[in-house]
Amino acid sequence: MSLRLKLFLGFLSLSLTVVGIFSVVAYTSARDYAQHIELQRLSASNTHLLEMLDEAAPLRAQLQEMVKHHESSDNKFSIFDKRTKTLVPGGSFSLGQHLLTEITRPDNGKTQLQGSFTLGRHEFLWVANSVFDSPFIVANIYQRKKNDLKTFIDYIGTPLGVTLFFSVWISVWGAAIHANLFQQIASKNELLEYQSTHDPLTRLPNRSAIGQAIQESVESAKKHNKKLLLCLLDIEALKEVNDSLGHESGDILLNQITHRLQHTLQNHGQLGRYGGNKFSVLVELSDITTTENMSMRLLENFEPVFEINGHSLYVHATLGMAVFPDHASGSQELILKTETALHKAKKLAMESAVYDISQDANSAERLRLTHDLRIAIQNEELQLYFQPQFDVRRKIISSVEALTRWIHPQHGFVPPDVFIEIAEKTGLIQPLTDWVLRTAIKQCADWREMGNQLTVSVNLSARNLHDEMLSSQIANLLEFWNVEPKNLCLEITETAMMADPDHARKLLVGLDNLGVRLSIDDFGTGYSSLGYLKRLPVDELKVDKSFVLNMSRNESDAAIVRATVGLAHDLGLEVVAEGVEDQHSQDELSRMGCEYIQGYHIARPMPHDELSTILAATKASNDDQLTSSGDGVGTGKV
Amino acid sequence: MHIKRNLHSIDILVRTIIGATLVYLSFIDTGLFANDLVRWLLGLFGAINLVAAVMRSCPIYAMAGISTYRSQ
Repeated sequence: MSLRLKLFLGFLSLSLTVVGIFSVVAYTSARDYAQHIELQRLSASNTHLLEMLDEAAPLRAQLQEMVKHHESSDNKFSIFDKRTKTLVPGGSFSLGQHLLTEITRPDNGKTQLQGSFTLGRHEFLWVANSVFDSPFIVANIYQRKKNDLKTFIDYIGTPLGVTLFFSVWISVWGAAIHANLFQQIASKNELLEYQSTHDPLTRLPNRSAIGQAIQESVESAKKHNKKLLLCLLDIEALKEVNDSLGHESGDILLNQITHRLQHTLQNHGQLGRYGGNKFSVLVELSDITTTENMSMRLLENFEPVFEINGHSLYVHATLGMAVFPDHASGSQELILKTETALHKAKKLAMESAVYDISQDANSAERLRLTHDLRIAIQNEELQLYFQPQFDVRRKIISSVEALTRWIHPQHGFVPPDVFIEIAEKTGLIQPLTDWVLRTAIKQCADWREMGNQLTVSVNLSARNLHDEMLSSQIANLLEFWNVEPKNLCLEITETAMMADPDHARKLLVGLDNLGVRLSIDDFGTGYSSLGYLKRLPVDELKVDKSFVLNMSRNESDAAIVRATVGLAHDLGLEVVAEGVEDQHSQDELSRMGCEYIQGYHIARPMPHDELSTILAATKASNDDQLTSSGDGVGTGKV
Repeated sequence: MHIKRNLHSIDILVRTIIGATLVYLSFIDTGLFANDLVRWLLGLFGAINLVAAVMRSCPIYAMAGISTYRSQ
């Protein structure tokens, strides 16, 4: 039933009820009023009769003569004698009998009495009057007319009809006006509701509506034991289109993409605009709709060119997918996992990726590790290992590289690349570097006390290059532990240095002024500009271990190492070769003129006390012997 | 203020006939209605209809969002 009809019926029934109540009240009031008037009239007749009566009881004929002018067919007189308590003959005797007891009661001293009685099917009203100085009571008995209602309707019919008409008329219009008003409010609310849940450009559900839809679908899928696939499509080119062709073109592109996706999905899936350049698709998985199938169907929309304002654009999209309940147990989790999958696809430059728990970098596990790392740094629970570097010319351990190791109380050994990456991303790299510098410089001082002049190398992260206080902090530490600057070497990766070469140069010049050694780490893996390289105040180059490891088998790697050594020497730099794992490589590097070698062939990274023991042992023995026999740290090679 | 037309020609014709008849019966040949109040009410109703017919616009139609003019 429509709102208009409901209101119409409501108003109409209300008005009819009011008219009905009004009619009943009017009828009863009118009847009471008419009765009141009638009784007054009868009472006046009674009084008139009383005045006509003498002390003596009138004769029947006299009385009949007297009442003749007052009586009618439905209105009879009875006269009572107060003294004898009897009816005076001549009046209406039969009707008078009904009043006799009531009227002649001794305690009844009122001058006017009234009442009613029923005789057969007739109702009679009566009124009796007496005066003090008359021995008679005159009663007028009136038979109530049966056609009171008819008289009333005859009399009030027209006004009632008019009232009814106006009442209905007002009701109808009241209903129509209200219906219109409600309809306007409803359509406004509908519009607001639509605006709050839809993207104004593409008219697709927006992020909040998508969240709601996913939640509802997940609840339904739980009940019916079904699988849901959530896809997120990222349109990377949108920003470029907006920047180069204007936002209007970007909007056209979004609409064209929407149109294509809608065409692909038909009605099998919920399409939404998840964000600025992201679309979401929620579908129920089945034998026909699989992740591979959906991925293909969605991405093939981006194969044809988009024609926008005369420009033909190829737009690339990246797709992330996650499945309920395989990857998530709730709607929020499903969204999160899909975003993770999308992130992974973008990071690995893949077209699409399905969520894979093993590669979820944002898992709770990783968050817990971040927390634990913070605690470990605060409580100094990390350990500093030292890997010796062998001086090829002097055939001694001349320096060590400080390497951080983290033995987690629950997880055991955590690979450095894992926690260093966490530290770099969470800002923990700074306190970590502080701790490494403090510990390494103190250890350097300890070894000097033992009579070993070792240079300790400490790795700096790209983030450290933005630490304005680094130089002064290092200077203070060196001064505090009385360590000569030349015994501290700072290693900065080629990639970190080239990320912001001007800034790096500024910082390196400051550090060089302190007198500390500076080394370019992992050389050969980045994109060093030789022009910059020659301007940097570095002392050594560390050839990346990937070249050194394979140099005995791969002539190209050997050529790179040879060229690097040559380049370094031409620039007046010393060369450290990392990743030396066999004697052949060591010999080859010696022939090339490489100054220092580092790797498992020389020694693995070890705790400071272990290294101290070896240093003490080697100090006591001949250096030549050390380099000619054995194959590891524990066997006396180093 | 511009009053927007919302009455169809037939609507105007019906209102004119009803309005004129009621005004005539209420204020000119007053014999039909014995009750003065009824007479005045019907007279007013007739007058409103006449005014609406002359203006070619019904204020109640406007409030109720109805128009017979559009469907002409």
